[in-house]
Amino acid sequence: MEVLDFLESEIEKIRFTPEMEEIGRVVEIKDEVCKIEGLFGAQVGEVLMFEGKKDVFGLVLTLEEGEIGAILFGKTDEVKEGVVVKRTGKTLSFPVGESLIGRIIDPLGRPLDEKGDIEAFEFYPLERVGPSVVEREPVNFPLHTGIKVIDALIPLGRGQRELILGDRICDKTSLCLDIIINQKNEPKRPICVYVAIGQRARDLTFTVEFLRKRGALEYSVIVACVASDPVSLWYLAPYAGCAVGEYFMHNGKDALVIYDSLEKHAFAWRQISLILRKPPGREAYPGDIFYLHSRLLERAAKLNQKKGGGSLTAIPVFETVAGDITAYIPTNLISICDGQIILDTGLLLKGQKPEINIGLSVSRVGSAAQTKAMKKVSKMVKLEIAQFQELEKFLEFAEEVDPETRKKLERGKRLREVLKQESKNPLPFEKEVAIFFAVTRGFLDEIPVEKISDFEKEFYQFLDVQRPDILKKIRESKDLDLETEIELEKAIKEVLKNYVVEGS
Amino acid sequence: MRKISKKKLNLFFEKIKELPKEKREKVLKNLISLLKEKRFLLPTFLKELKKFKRKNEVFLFFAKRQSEEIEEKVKQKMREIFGHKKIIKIEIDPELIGGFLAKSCEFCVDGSVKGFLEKVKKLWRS
Repeated sequence: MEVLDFLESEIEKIRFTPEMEEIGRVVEIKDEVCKIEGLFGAQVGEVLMFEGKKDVFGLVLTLEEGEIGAILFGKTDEVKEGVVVKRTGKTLSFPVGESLIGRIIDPLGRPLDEKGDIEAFEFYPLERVGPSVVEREPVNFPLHTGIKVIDALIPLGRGQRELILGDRICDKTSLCLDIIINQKNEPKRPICVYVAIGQRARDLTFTVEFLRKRGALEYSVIVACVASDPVSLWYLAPYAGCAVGEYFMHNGKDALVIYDSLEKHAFAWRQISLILRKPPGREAYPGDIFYLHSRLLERAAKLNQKKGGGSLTAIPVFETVAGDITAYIPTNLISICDGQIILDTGLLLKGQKPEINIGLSVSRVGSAAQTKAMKKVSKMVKLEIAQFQELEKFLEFAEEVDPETRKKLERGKRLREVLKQESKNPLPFEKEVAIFFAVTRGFLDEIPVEKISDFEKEFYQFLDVQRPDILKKIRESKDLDLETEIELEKAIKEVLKNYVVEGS
Repeated sequence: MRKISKKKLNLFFEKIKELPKEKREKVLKNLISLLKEKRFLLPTFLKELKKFKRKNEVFLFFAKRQSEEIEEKVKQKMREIFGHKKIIKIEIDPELIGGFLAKSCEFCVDGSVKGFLEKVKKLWRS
């Protein structure tokens, strides 16, 4: 009886007065994009409901005279011309929370794995203005990628936006996955959000399996839409990933969001805009293509301590055509981001892995976040590699060179060898410091170039087994004091001694 | 020009109604001969004509046939809401269970039992 009384009282509370409601009608549908007549009060970004269609909803994108343009989500084939559309007065939001960790979801928050429904008690808007200037603080904490060349020469900081550019054959995704798996042993581990936009389902399966095998899913969220998904989902995916990252940032944690890749996002927006008859500009992209990416990447930030001190690092990926980084979208993204890592097909073909073009790659804010130990050794790396590249070009056809130049060339060759690294094999920061110390102090000058990689392996093994105290000291102090330098020198000489005996 | 301006067409439809009968017939004859000559304009013209027609109609749905007196009362109220020039068409939709539902192309007034139940469902879900 209590239940019935409760129901009765609840129903009595509901006031039923017929109210005038705005409605519209679908007049045109093309590829999940529709035009609706009416709904004059609708706002851009508002969610629309279709009468009698439970599994489909729309998102207002354009407002024109007498018509509005919207993209559709869900079972879009149910929507036909003449269907009545109603406003909801709400904007699109995404379920967020700790329960998302380890899950694979689509850009609407629906689970794509077999772990059941998403339990989220909070919803974040997909479109949100980034933190204001007073809420931010400068990037001051490093994000170790485990990739020697990046950590030494193009360092990343938490809260930074670093663009990865490269051709089709370059291993952009592998580089991103390396960065994710390297976070596993980081002291202040960031939550990684991998946003797959319009990727092949096979590639996505590989990515998920790889992260699962390496134990990276424990601290990762995958927001995915595959190539067969409608473009409306491609368009939403980065914003959904960003909303997930923002949740962790607002809760004082660090988040790393990888957008793989933004050219698909730009394609999706171009397709939607052309169907909506927005005036096409350069390369048929609409005029607001810059704003599309700037409003997404501007949400990456390092919050100040008053706001919890959380951070959101964004790593957008872009696939260039024939290495052209001066195309429309890459130049836009380069100007938005705090630096770029450029992958060079030429270097890949020469056998250099990772194929990062050191001359063109840059990190504008990351060096401020670099640890003291890395700063000490990387300063020399930068200088020596720059000198070597200059000399190598200049002396390509020269036969005789003075001993000083010869020494620089030999050192450069060894340095280049040290910078090589197999993919899916990230290195802890302390080992990076140790090997850079060895090469910049000239300890490796006596070893033939082709033996450098063997030495490297043996050196790491020696440190792991016989001198873990050195690694621990560097890891904990994040500095390279005189005492550690002496200890490290001894360790290098020890391996070198064994090595020379073996090599000779 | 392969397109007709929507604004101009709407203005044309509005103005043509105000013309005296003889003049109206003459204008319409001219229009038909023009459309015959420039057939590519026909689809847009028909689309806009349909829209214009829809704008002037209000559909009033009841769950079952009502007495003339009630129908007239509701019609009167709807004219006050939607405008006196609108043509009100009555239709029967048993799915409404009870009450009424008025729909124009831009607005709707839901006073049906079905609408009420849906409102209750929404409230409880939230």
